Amino acid sequence: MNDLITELFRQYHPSVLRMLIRRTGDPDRAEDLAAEVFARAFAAPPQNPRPWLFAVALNLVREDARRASRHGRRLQLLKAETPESTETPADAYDRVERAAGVRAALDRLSERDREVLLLQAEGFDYDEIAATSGLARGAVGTTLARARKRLVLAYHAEQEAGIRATR
Amino acid sequence: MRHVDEGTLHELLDGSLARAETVRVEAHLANCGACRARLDDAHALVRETADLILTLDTPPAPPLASRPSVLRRTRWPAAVGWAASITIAVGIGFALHGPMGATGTPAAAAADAASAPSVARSTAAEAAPDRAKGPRQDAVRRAGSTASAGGNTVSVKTAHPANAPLPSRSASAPPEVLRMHPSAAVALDARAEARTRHPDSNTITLEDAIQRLGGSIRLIDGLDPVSVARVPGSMVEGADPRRDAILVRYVDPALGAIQLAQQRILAADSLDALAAGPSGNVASPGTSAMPAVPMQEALSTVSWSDGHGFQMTLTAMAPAGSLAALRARVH
Repeated sequence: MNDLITELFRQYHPSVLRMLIRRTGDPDRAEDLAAEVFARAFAAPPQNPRPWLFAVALNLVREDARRASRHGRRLQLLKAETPESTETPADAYDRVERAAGVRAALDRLSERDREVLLLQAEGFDYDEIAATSGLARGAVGTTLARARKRLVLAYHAEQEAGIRATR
Repeated sequence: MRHVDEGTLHELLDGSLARAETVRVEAHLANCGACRARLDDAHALVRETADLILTLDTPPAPPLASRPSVLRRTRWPAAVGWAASITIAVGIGFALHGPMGATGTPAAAAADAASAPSVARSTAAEAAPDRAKGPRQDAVRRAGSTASAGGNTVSVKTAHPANAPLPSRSASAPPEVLRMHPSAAVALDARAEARTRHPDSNTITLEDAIQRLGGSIRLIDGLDPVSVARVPGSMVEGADPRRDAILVRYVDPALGAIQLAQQRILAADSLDALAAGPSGNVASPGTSAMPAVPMQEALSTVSWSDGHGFQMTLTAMAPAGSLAALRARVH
């Protein structure tokens, strides 16, 4: 039992955490949510762990967002950890700003679009995406295609807005 | 078979299409150029989306307060430097062309400035966001001695923080040099910084910059450029407003952020420069109207034409003397 739990954690925690960071933009919050996901998994080990873990993780994000919204909590997007890096200030600025643009674009999508994109980015096949998100298997491709277009369009719209603002 | 629908193309690209279906789709693609083109588009979309999502893994930026000092010094000119450049450029526009765009020469402007110095100031509180875009209200005009360097036109202008008493100017006096306290400018508008440093708005490669400048570029010896950008000439003091200028950003350990703007001088510009003659305008620190402020807090700008077809403008948070020394390293 302990071995199973340890293996589950070793195998899936990095992926769940990465998806949660991408989804929330908040590493600390993602850590908390990932810990909660695995606490639940340990309490009742799932049969088909990967879709289960990600479904729980995405549910927790939604619940947490509602709670945060009720309490008017401002989510802290940028944490005070100085990255050990040799990149130039300009590169760091561009990198962070690009990430902010992508995050803003992602925030403009529907919950379903966000989820299929992030699950696919974690290497989920369409069966797993369907199992995790509750989408019909046959709708995954169309949903993903649409979500990708929307993300790219939203990102370019963010860029356009930024460029217009500089003029 | 019918054309392949979008979802199936993505399913194929994602490797989730069943084997039998894959064979069928591939057979169709072999004979359908339209679907192959759509597959290419879908492929590009899949790759771009994957790249965008990977961007989300970027480590967060440290907050401003905890950044190393070099970072802090780099960030404010991104906002202030631009704001100042815009306002300085407009101010210079007055000097060069008069308030209504009337014709004039740099020499005439310099002579005017030297013969009729007037000073205006604004307090930091006045430098509110909207006001920062109106340099005519927030400008200080100051003129000092005239200097020349070889056959090149040189002007040094220094904008000081607004924390020392200065006589008020009349509302109609044309501004020449913007004064803006860094802290006031930083507080201007959080969005201004995002706008001015939008990664895709104006950043170009060094090679692109060289090409745009006609095959060569001027750089500061001993410093590595941090970034290169293409900016409207109207935003750079001394530049031809009708053409883009190239802006090279540096960070000097001692002087902080430095911006070197340059533009090829066209034939018409050369005639203007000749007409202007080898004169310049120096507003140096320490003249009677100068406020007693720490010099390292002053924003300085040096403009010159290098005699080899380039119009240059250096801007830094540094004393004018340091900037002049820096200028000697531009080749």
